[in-house]
Amino acid sequence: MKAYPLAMALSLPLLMQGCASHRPSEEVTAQMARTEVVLQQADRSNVAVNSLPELQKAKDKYAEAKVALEKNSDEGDRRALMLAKQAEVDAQYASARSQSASQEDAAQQVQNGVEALKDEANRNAAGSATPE
Amino acid sequence: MNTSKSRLAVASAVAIVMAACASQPQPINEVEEARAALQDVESSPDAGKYAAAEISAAHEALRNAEQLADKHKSQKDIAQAAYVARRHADIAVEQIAKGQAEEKTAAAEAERARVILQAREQEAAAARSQAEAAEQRADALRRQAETAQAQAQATAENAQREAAELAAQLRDLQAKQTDRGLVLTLGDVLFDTGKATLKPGAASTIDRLAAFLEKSPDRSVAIEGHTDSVGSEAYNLQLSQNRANAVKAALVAKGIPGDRVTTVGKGEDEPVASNGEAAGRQQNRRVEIIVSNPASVAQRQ
Repeated sequence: MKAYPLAMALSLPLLMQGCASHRPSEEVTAQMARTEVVLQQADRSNVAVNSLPELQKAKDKYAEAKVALEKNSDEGDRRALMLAKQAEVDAQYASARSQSASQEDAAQQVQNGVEALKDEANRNAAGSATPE
Repeated sequence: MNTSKSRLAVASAVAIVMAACASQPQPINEVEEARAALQDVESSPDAGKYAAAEISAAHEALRNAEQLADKHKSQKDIAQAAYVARRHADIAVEQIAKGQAEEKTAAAEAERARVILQAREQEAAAARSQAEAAEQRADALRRQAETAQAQAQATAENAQREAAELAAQLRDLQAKQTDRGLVLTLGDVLFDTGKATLKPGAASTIDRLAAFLEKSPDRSVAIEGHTDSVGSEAYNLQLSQNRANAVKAALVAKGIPGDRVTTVGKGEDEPVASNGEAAGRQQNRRVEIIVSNPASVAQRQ
C-alpha cells in the first residue's frame, strides 16, 4: 500500500514527459468500446423510468472514464478501465431492470384485461339469464 | 521545482487513495455481499432457466475478487471485482423476474383466450336455448291451431249431422215447411173430447220436438190451438187456448225455456176443412206448432 503512491510519485515525472507518446492498452480501448455499445443499446431500447437513474449512473461513469483516459497516463487508464467496466455492468443492469419492469407491466395489463373480460362475461351471463 | 511538484503529487495521490479507502467499506465485506447476492439468486428455481449465463459471469467475477484477495491485491481492485460480481447477480435477478413475468403474461393470455371461448360458448348456448324455446312455442301454437281447427271441423260436422238428424226427425213428425216456418200439427186424438190434457200418445212427438228445440236454440215456437164450430165460440176459444197452453207446459217440462214458446187460442176461426162433416170437424180440432226459421237463416234470406 505504501509502495504504491511512492512508485507513482517516482513515475509521475516520466509520465508527464511521455504524454505525447502515451497509448492506452488494448484492454482499456476494448472495454471503452464495449461500454459504449452497451450504453447505446440501452439508450435505443427506451429504458423504463424506474431504471433511468441506473442508466444515468452508467453514463456518468463512462464520461468519467473518458476524462481519465484523456489524462494519457497509466493511472488514468487504470481508472478508465475500472469505471468503464462498472459502467458496462451498470448499463446492463439498467436494461435488465427496465425489461423486467416492462414485462411485469405487460403481465399486469393482460391480467387486468382478463379480469375485466371475466366481469363482463359474468354480467352478460347474468343479464341473459334474467329475462327467462 | 520538480521535487516540490512530485511531493505535492504524492501528497494528493495519498489523499485520493486514503479518501477512496475511507469512502468504501472493507473490500472483504463487498465480496461477502456479492457472494450472498449470488447465493440468493441461485436459490431461485428459475435461475438455471433464465439467468444461467449471467450467474456464471457472476461466479467468474466473484472468483476473480477472491483471487485478488488471496493475492493481497489492493482493496480497490478487490472491490471493483466484487462490484462487477454483484452487478451480474443483480442482472440475473432481473432476468429471472422478466422470465417469470413472461410466464405470467403467457398464462394470462391463455386465460384470456379461455374466457373468450367460454363466453362465446355461453352466448351460443343461450342463443341455442332461445331458439329451441321459440321453436317449442311455435310448435305449441301450431298444435293449438291444429286442435282448434279439428275441433271446429268436428263441431261443424256435428252441427251438420245434428241438423240432418233434426230435419229427419221433423220429417218423421210430418212437419210442413210453410211461410211461417215448419208447421207441425197435433191431431185431436191426442186430447180427450172437451179436455185440454195431453194423452200419453203425444209424448213421443213432444219429446222429439223438445229435443229439436234444445239443439236449435235460435228457433222459437208459436203454439196455436184450434177447434171445430161445435159449442159456443167463447168455450172453443178457451179450449183452444188451454190446449195450446198444455202443449207449452209439456215442452217447458222437457226443459225448453218458457220465453221461447208463445201460445194463442184461435178457437173456431181458422178451420182447415168443412165443419159440415165429421171428418172435416176432426181435421179442424187440432194444435199447430209453428217452429220459426233460425234467426240467422231468416236474416240471410
